[in-house]
Amino acid sequence: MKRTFILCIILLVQLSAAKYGVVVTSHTSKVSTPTLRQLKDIFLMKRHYVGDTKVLPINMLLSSDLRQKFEQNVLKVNRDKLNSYWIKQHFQGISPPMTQASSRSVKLFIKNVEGAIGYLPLELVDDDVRVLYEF
Amino acid sequence: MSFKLKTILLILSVSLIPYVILMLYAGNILRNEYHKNAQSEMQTQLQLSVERIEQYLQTLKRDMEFVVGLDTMNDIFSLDLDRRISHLLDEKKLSLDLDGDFHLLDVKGKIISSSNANKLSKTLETDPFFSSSIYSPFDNSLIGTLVVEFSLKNLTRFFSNNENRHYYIVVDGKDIFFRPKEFKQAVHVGMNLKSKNNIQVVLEENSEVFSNILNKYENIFMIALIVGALLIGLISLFFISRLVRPIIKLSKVADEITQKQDYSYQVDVSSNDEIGKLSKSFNMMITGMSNALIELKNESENRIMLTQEQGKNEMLEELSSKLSKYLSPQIYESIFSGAQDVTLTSKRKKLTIFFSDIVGFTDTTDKMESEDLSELLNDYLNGMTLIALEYGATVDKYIGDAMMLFFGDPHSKGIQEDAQACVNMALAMQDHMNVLHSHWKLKGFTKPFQVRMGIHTGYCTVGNFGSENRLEYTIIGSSVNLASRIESAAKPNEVWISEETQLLLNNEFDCTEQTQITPKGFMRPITLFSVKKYESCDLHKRSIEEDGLSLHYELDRISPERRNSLKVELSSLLKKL
Repeated sequence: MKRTFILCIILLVQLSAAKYGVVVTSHTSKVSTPTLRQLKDIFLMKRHYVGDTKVLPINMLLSSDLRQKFEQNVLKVNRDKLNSYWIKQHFQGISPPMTQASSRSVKLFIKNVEGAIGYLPLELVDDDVRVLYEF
Repeated sequence: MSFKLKTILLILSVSLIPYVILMLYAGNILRNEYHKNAQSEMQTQLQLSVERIEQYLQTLKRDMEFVVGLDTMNDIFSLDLDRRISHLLDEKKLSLDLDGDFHLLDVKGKIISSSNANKLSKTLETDPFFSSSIYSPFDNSLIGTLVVEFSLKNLTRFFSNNENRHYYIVVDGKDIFFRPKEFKQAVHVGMNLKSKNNIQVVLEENSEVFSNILNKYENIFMIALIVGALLIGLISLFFISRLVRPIIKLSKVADEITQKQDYSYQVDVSSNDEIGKLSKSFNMMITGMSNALIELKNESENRIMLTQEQGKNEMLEELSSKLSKYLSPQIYESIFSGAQDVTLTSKRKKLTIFFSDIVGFTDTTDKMESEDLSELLNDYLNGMTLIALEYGATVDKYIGDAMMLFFGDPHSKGIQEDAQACVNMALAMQDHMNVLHSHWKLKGFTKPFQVRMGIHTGYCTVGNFGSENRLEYTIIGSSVNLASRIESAAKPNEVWISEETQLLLNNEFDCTEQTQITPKGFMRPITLFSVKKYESCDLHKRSIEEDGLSLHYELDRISPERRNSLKVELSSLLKKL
C-alpha cells in the first residue's frame, strides 16, 4: 500500500514535471535568461528590462491552451485574478502584453523584433529561438 | 391736336409710361433674382452634397486612424501571418461600402496585408487617396502605412442627378469624371473638397430648362403688363371721356352759336364740379347775351321807330308851329294837349270879349302905299298880339284891322280875374300904341293909327263851329255882338267897357260913364264906361301921347349921365311952362 502510494506520488511528480512549452526569445537577442520571478514580472508588465536589454512580452490569444498553461505554470495566477489585475493596471495606463494569434506568428514576431519574449510549444523550438524557460 | 387727345396723352404719359417702365424694371429685377436664386439654390444643393462627401471622407479617414491605432497592427511584425489585419481591412471595406481597397504597406512599401488578396506582396502603383502611418507601440518607430485605394466612383453615391441637372468631378482642374452629358446651355456651380483640394465637385444645370421657366414667367409677366396697360388705358379713356365730354359739348355749343348766331342753345349740365360750374356760367352768359341781343334789337327797332316818329313829329311840330300862328296859343295848346277834341262841340261859358279897331283905317289906306301900310299893320298886329298873349287872351280872329279876343276859355282864372286881365290888356295896348307912334314917327309916318277898344262880359257859346271838314274855334252869341257895338261906339284911343264888365273891376281902374246905347236886338239900353288906370305915383315909367305932346320914358333904362343932362333940360322946360 505504502509502495503503491510512493509510486503514485512519483508518477504524479513525473506527470507534473511534463513540459508544455518554452519561453523563448530570438537567438540573436541580447536578452539574458531571466529568473522565473523576472519572467513573471515581465509578462505582468512590471518589468521591462532584463539587465540592460529592453524586453517585449508576447502573449497568445486568450483562447489559447498554451497561454492557459503558461498562466498556470509560469505566472501561477488563475484567470479571474489575472483579469482583475489587468483591469486595475488598465486604469493605471498599463496594458497587457500584445498578442499574436498563432504560435507561428509568435515565433515570427520574436524573430523580427529585438527583445521580444514569447512562449511556444516544444515542437516549434528550433535554432532560430533561444529557450529561456520551460514550463 | 384736340383737347381730348392732349388729355389722353397727358394721362397716359403720367400713368402708362411709368407703369410700363416700372413693370419692365420689376421684371428685370425678378429675372436677376430668379437667376440669383436659382444659382443660390444650386450652390446650396452642391454644398449639401459636398458636405455629405466630406463627412464620408472624414469617416474614412477617422476609420483609418482608428485602424492604425489598433494592436492588431503589430501583426505587421509577423507579416500578418494570422490574417487578422486582412480581416479587419475587409470588414472596414464592407462597412464603408468602399469601391476600392485598403492596403497595409510595410516600411519598404510592399503590401503585406490587403482587403484585396491579389495585391499581396506587390507595391502600390498609384498614389494612395488617403494614407495613415503605423507606429510601433513599444518604440514609436514607423512600422508601416495603411493606405486606401479609392475610386472616385464612391463619391457619385452622393450625387442626385436628373435629366436637367447632374454632378461631375474635376480633378486637378482638368480631368473630368462622371459627367453624363454636356448641355448646350448650362449653368455651372463648383466647389473644392476640403479634405482633397485637387478634387472639385461641379453641379451643372441645363439652362434651357431654366430659360424655359424664365420665358414662361416672362410671358405671364408680359401678359400682366399688357393687361395692366390696357386696363390703365381703358380706365383713363373712360374717365377722360367723362371729363372731357362737357368741354366738348361746350365747344360744340359755342361753335353752333358762332356759326348759326342762335343764342337759344344751352349746354346740358349734369355735374357740380368746376366744369359744371363753367357750363352753368356759360349758359348764363349765353342767356344774358341772348337777352342783351333781344334788348339791343328791340332798342334798335325802337330807335328806328323813334327816329321815324321823330321825323314825323318834327314834321308835325313844324306843321303845328306853322298852324299855331294861325291859332290862338290857348286853343292850340288845348287841342294839341288833347284836352279838347277836334269835334263839332260847343258849350256856354261866361267870357270877357274884346274888340279893337283902327279908326279911319280905310281913309288911311287910301293915303298910304300898300308896302308901308302892310308894315304898319304888321307892326301894330304883332305888338297887339304879343300883349294879348302876355295877358292870356285867346285870339279869336283878325278881321282886317280889327281884332277879336276873349278871356275865359279854354283857360279861365275866374270871371272877375278874366275881366280885369282883359281891361289891363286893353290899357297896355293903348300904352303900346304910344310906343308905336313914337316908332312910326321916327320912320316918317306922320299920321299914325288911332285905336278904339270895346269890352263886354257875358255868356257866349264857345266851341268848334263849321262843318266836319272845316272847323273854326270861335264864340258866338249876343255878348259878342254887344262887345263889337261897344267898340264901334268907343272914342279913338279909348277903352270902353259895358256895365257888366265894369262891375267886375276893382278900384284899380278909373271908370267914367260915357253914354248909353241900345244896340239892335237889345231890349234895354246899355251903359258904357270909358276906363283908364288911375294916375299912379310910379314915375319910373310913363308914356303920354297927346296932341302937341309925346312923352315916353323908362327911368330904369336911362343912364346916370343922361339923367343929369335930362335934369338940366327938364328944369329949363319947367321954367318955360
